[in-house]
Order: sequence, then structure tokens, then C-alpha cells
Amino acid sequence: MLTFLKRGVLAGVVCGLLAGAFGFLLAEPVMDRAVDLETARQAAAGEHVSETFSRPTQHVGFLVATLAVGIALGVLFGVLYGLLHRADPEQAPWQRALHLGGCAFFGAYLVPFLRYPANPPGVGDPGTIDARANSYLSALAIGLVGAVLLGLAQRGLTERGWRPSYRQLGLVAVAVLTVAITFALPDNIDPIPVDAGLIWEFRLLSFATSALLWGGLSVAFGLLGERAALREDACNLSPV
Amino acid sequence: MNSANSSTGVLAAPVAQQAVATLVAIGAVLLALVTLYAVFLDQGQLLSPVLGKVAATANYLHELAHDGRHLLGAPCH
Repeated sequence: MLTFLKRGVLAGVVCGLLAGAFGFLLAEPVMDRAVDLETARQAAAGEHVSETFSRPTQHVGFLVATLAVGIALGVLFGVLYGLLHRADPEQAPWQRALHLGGCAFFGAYLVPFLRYPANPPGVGDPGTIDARANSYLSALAIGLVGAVLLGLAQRGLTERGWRPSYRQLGLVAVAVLTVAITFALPDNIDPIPVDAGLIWEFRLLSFATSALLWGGLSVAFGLLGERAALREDACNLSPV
Repeated sequence: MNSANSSTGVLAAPVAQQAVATLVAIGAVLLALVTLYAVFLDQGQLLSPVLGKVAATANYLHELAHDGRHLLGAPCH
């Protein structure tokens, strides 16, 4: 288990730095624009809001946050991977890492994102944050259940000897149903006082950063696992 | 990894190692969950035992992780 934990932390550092660098270079300018607009709106309304941290500090905070998230996700990924490995030691590391990463990205990011798309700074009423957090967590929970079901379905349908075409359509059905169920949750009622171009750009960058985070994690973890397996074969040791 | 120990016939060592590994894994998972909570959901709760009321009004963790929270899709103000 510790081998997988270490691998997870290492892959987490890699993907955290990768997503951090990408977001720092491409998304921060967009967020700065959004914050400037927000400040201008507040000034026009005669409000004065004192910020806890300056923007440059928040830029550093962003890098710290993505690195911390990368490592935390890496730890969870490593432990889950270890449990799956124990259940079925035969599957190739690269394949398992990508399957696990795909399911996790779907459940932990894509499902909540499709229901409650990310919004740039300046959108979101502080008064509704508790309600929004609850809705978001509900969507996250539904997404995670869906991700587990995807994994179980992939395995169960293969064991039952379903043809690949039917099996893949079955998986798509599980995914679509998962997303559909989240639409039973209440809508986000906060007004969006920024133009559609900025929102679109921000959401695209949000998706790209998260895809990089999860993709980087899975790929780094898979490559590290593959290397370890090749080494083990070379030494002619049985897998632990 | 444990083969050196088990081949010497010491049974307790691998068992103890396994228990330690499990504990480390559980500790790491808890730490990871607290980290994710701090970045994505905290509104001053984590620091309030240390800082008192100012933790909620200044919202240090939220403000520091502000951009990451927005970009990675969590609810923010």
C-alpha cells in the first residue's frame, strides 16, 4: 500500500505543478480581468470592500492550492488504486490508472461542473454560498456514485461476456443517467453580471485546468506503475 | 518488500509492517480530505479554534485559495 501511496504523492506533485503552471499562465489573466470588473462594479455601487489578500498574494495562493489539491488527490488516487490492485493484481498499471483517473474525473469534476458550471470571481452572492455549497456537494456525491457504478459496470458486464459494443453503450447509459439525475437538484439562482464571452473563456479554462490535473495524475501514476512493473519483471520477482 | 523478513521466519514483523502501512494510509487519506476541505469548502471553520471570530470574517484559507477554488469549479463568492 505504501508503494502506491508514494506513487500517488509523486504523481500528485507532478499534476499539481502542471495544472498550477497552466492556470497561472492562462487563467490568472482572465481572473484578474474578472476581479477588475467586480471592483469597478462595487465602486460604481458605492461599496468599499477591503480584501484580505492582494491579487499577487492570491496568485501565489493559487499555486499553493493547486499543488495541495494535486497531492491530496494523488494520495486518494494511490489508496484507491492499491485497493483495486489487491482485488485484481493482474490488470496492467497503465490501463488501471487511466480507467481509475477517467472515472474519477467524470465523477469528481465533470458531473458537478455540468450541473453547476464554474463561475469567475465576481459571480456568486456570498449570502447564498451555503446553499450553493450544499447543491454542489450533492452533485459531487451523485457524480462519485456514478463513477463507482461505471467501474462496477465495466467489470460486471465484461465478466458476463457482453460484447464490447453493448458494454460500451451500457457505460454511456450509466454516465448519461448520472448527469441527468443531478438536474433534479435546485438551480443556481445567482445572477451573472458579466458578459458571456468572459464566462465562456473562464469555463473553458476551468475545464482545461481540471483535465490537466486529473489527466496528469493518471498519466504520471500509470507511467510510474508501468516502470515499476517492468523493473519487477526484469528482476524476475513476483509482484508483492 | 517483506520477503527478507518472512524468509527469516519472523512472522510478527510483516504483520506489524502491514498494520503500520494501513495506519499511514488512513492518516494520509484523512489529511488529504482535510486539505481538500480547506481549499474547496472552508469558510473559516478550520482556523476558528486558533484565531477565533476573525477566522470567519477574514476567511484566510478561502481568500488564499480563492482563485483555485473558482477555477476548479467549487462554489465561491
